[in-house]
Amino acid sequence: MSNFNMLDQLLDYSCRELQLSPTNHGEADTRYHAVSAWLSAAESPLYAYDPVIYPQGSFRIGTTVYPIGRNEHDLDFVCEMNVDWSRTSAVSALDAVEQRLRAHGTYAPMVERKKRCIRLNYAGAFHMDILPAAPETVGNGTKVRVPDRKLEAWTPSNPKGYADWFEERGRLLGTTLLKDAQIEPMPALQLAHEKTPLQRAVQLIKRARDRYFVRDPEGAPRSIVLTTLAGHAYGKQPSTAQALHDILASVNELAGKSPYGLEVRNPANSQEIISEHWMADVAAYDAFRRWLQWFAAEWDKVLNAGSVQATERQLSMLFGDEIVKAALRRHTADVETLRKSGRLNVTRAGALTGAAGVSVVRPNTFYGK
Amino acid sequence: MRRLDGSQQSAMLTAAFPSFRLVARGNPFVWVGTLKPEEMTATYRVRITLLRMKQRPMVDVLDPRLVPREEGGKVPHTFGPSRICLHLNEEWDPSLYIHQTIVPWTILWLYHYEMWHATGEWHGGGHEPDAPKEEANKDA
Repeated sequence: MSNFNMLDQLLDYSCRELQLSPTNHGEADTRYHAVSAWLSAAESPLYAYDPVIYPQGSFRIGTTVYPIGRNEHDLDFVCEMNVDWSRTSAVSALDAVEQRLRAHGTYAPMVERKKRCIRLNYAGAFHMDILPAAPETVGNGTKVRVPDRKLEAWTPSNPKGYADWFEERGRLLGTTLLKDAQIEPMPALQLAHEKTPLQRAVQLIKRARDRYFVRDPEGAPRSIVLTTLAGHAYGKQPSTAQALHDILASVNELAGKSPYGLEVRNPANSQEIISEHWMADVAAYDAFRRWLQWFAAEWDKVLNAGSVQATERQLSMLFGDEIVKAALRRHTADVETLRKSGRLNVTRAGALTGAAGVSVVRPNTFYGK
Repeated sequence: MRRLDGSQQSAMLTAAFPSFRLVARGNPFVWVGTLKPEEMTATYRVRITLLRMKQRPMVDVLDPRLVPREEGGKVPHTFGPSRICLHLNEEWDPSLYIHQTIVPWTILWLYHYEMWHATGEWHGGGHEPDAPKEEANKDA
């Protein structure tokens, strides 16, 4: 396998620019617990149904990407209640959650009704979509039913099971660090391994999608579909750059063999078809295939760029120059931190390294205009 | 201070960096070798020239040639089209080994050069000769 330490590090830094900041993440945690407490309080009409809020989607699986043009993340939550969905109207479940939220002084002006959920519009970095849910079978497994306002029906889902599947698909075998005889990763890369290559690949795929479909967001492939396809295709590569290459090649091949549409189901609930929009919109599927083919070709150019500048141009074109420039600055800062602390070395092949080398880079001052 | 001669420098330099070859011996000593600061950067062929009378070795980037970011622009920390400026006068003396000083600095310079091309910002620090209160070597 090729060695992509620097590229992987830049991709990791790019992903950190894309995702919810640790501060906002903590804030989201606090807020959903507060909402959960309000819904399940003893005086709440929902109290009898023991409502519990838990994260789902990108917030749960660690693949958040802020949307282009607004600095506001969509965070999805499930409000699971112990009701017998077969005897309860789907719309009434939505109404019940909405009414309880409207009874709260702070939440009331933030509430917005959506097709499948109730949205809380917080000022700032994110809004919270709360999707009511009922267990498929009470006290048994993680499968749920969720209301669809338009269909006025409960549709099958399994957000927890999906997240477990995704986590399992992303888990690396054995030690996760990239090893190479010549170029050891910089320490910052080692510390950054709290995210898996699959999570990063999904973030990058979503961002590339958002940029490509910026004028046609309705025609864009859905995040859940892309995440699922990536999860299936991922082959446990420890390098994000390599993982993205292999995922794109594999999904491209699959799409090439399926000219009329691709059926994608929730891996944790085969009753839930998540690619339904492609059934209704052939043009959207065609656009997905064209984009995928283009993206795979453009990604190969990243892998073969041959210079930092050429890599930067290509990455900026795919993901946006602000995040890529920020990633490059972080890389330089890492190198300079090592240099200043006397831990920057060089290898026999003439490369910089944060590990042992043939010589340390002694203090110097670049001179001249 | 014990002054190292060209042969001593050469033995250590070619042992530490096997791509380096001694291409001229005597006055001057000249070595040519390749450096690749990061996996993403180009591989650079550089020439190190040590004139006996001169204080410090001179480093030229031969291939790929250094280019400014825009036409008519200037590459930071260079003297002339290929010669790079690695250190202040007092940071090198003939008792220091080239493979422990000049070569690591060249690798770091080349890294910052590529980052500069990509971002438009030089993050490697340094001094300019016209900057006030600089005690710098004027001979390149």
